[in-house]
Amino acid sequence: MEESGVNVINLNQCDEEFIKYLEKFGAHSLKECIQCGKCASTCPMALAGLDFYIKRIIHAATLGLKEILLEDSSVWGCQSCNRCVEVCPMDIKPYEIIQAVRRAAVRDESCPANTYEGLRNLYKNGHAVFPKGFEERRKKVGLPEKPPTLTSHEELKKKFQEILKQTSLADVAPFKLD
Amino acid sequence: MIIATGFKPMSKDHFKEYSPQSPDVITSMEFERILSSTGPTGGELKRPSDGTKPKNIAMISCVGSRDERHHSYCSKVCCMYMLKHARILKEKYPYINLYLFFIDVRTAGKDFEEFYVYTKGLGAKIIRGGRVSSVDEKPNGKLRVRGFDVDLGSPVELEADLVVLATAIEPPDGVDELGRQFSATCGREGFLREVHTKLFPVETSAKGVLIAGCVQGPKDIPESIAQSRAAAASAASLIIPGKIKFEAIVSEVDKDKCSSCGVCVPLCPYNAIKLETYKDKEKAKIEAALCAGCGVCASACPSRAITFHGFTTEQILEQISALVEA
Amino acid sequence: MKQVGLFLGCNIPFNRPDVEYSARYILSELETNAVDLEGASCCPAFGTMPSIDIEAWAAASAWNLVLADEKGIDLVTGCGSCYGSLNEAKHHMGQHPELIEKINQIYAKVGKEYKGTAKVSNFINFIYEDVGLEKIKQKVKVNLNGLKCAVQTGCHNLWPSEAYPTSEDNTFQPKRLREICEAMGGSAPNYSAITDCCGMGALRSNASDKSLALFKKKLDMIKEELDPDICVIGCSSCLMQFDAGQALLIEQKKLNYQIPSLHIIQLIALALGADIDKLTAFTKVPLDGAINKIKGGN
Repeated sequence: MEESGVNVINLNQCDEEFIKYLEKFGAHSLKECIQCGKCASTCPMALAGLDFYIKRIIHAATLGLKEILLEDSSVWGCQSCNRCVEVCPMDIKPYEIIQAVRRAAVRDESCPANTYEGLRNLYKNGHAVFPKGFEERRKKVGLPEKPPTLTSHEELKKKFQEILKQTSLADVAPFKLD
Repeated sequence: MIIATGFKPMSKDHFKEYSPQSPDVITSMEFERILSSTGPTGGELKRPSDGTKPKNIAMISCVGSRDERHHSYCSKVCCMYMLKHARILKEKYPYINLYLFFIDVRTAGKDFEEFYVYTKGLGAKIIRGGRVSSVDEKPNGKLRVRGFDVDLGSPVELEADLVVLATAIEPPDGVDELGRQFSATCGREGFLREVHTKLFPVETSAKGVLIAGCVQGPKDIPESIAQSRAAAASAASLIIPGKIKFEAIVSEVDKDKCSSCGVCVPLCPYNAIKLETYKDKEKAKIEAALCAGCGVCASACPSRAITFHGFTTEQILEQISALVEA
Repeated sequence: MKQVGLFLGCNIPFNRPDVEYSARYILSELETNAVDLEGASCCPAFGTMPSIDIEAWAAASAWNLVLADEKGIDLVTGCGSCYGSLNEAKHHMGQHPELIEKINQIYAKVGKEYKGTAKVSNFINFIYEDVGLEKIKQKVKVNLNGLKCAVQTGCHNLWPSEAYPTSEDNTFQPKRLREICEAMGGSAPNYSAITDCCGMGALRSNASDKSLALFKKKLDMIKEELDPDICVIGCSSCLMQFDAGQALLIEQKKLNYQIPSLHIIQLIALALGADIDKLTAFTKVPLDGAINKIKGGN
């Protein structure tokens, strides 16, 4: 969208390479979508009123509208509920297309800050969700302060981190994997 | 022989997301019966569950059509008959709220688009660009329908008293077996296949076996009638001359070479070969009128007793030599 | 004694340890040894490694699956996202042997190997299939006394069904959670929004108001269609929306009624006689009405 507010999308900006890029990241059946809209009628992103939701995202992807897709953060509101996958009559696995856009976005550094927060928590603590004060909460119900997960096993955590370092997290994380 | 079996309407039971267990979720064929004066309700519009008159009706298109999990083809006639049902309903019961859910409204052809515009004019509500994702039963007996309206750019939902599913046109049961008996082949979707989409639309791979109507694929009444007349004319053109022309490219048995092994008989896809007595022995005989010139028998014959005219061993060898020289 | 690996995930041990307490209680009551998966990690959550690439996702999930392989046990989880992420990663690997090969090249460096033998279940399917409703009926100490339950199975516990080891007959009309509630003496009618998304998850993290509005729509439909005594939830993320999210809506004066909400694990613990203060230690929406009903009041 232009800054002046003119609402015209220039189709000449179609980026064929971006379409191939998305296909590489899991959007294998992108071009088979017939835009029947069955996913959109049940997608929580659409029901909640996000600007972009499954049907629009797929269509924008087939048109190769890279900038529009990467600028909009709606994909990060996808619930991963997979109802689209369950109902899609063309079996194109719409959720995989959302994930492909996310995968392109993390490599373009255009994802919300809380994505990095989750990744940082996962790497440092072994848990993407790691809220403060859990020790007190656990004590209250008579459980040990720390659960028997990586929070209690430093040696294993180092191994877990070794694993993560071997993945593309090493390329996209905006923090040091130490 | 003309095969004209008609079609089978798809059952609603395949569509778990549309509450098929509800008696108020019905197929278009059932709805057609309800609307008919000779139908189960004598033409009176009633909800199957409790006999009350529905106030809000939702009709859903492309149920099992344009769907890789069921039938990838478009059933072709649903958009138009949904509009027909809508027209009948709105003319008879103008106070009924009628919602038609389409992916696209396909009304190609003379007078069809006009029919669509006329029906819209009667007040039928058209929702485009969103295949319905769910029909759920409410405890009060109503049905909650959720779709998507591409023109509003939004998911939409409504409470309906009756939901009508335009289920796909399917080939009838046993059509593949029937085709096999007459040596006519079926396509991937299970309909009998014409020899050529444009030039031989009612002919099958078996000579003299013709097809008409939905056995060949989804089609509406005018098309079915046109095709049945074409099939009748083709049949007449085979019968009336009293003799038959056939292609020169057919196979022929040299009865003196034939060892009577009979290998060729079951191999022939067109049932053109049978054994008959020749010099006190059973020898293969190919009925030239039935032979389609596929060459299967010639390549299988262990005694090389079958000549495939136009593709004799000598001719093929000459072609190979010419290729090698080139 | 039967045994099963208790996969905790993140939200249950850190935010809702009352659910963990309940899980341990019911497994013990059902004569099942809850094996701790020492050194388990996040499943991983969909917005993390799965959003980097499939290999990164599989590598992180495999950590937990390998721990289970090593102990020779199957896993059970009370979190829908964990059930989804672990099973989907397993499904991807099952379909692509070359992916397993890559994952095992990585795991060889820490002396481990992914074999893919461990099955991942959730508490709904575990109770329904492995324990059985008959056993639940026998074990009930506190009958639910007709408590009217609105059930929420949770999206991840249903879809994508092709990735799951077991599935409802009709994933759009789930019945297992309803039958579990009924086995304990409750009633659990169907309602039209039974498979609607509660709004918890990435939507809540990235568009909180919209997420809560979506939840309110679902709750309004539950109120209108069933007016239940309680909501019974199959997923810890949904539970946080139904309980803490609901409390937030009440605080924001956007909701003028309340429906207490428990995880099915908590409700079973209650029926099997667990300490009610512990099993509801972090429940925000007051449970008094539901408890009264169970005790025989109206």
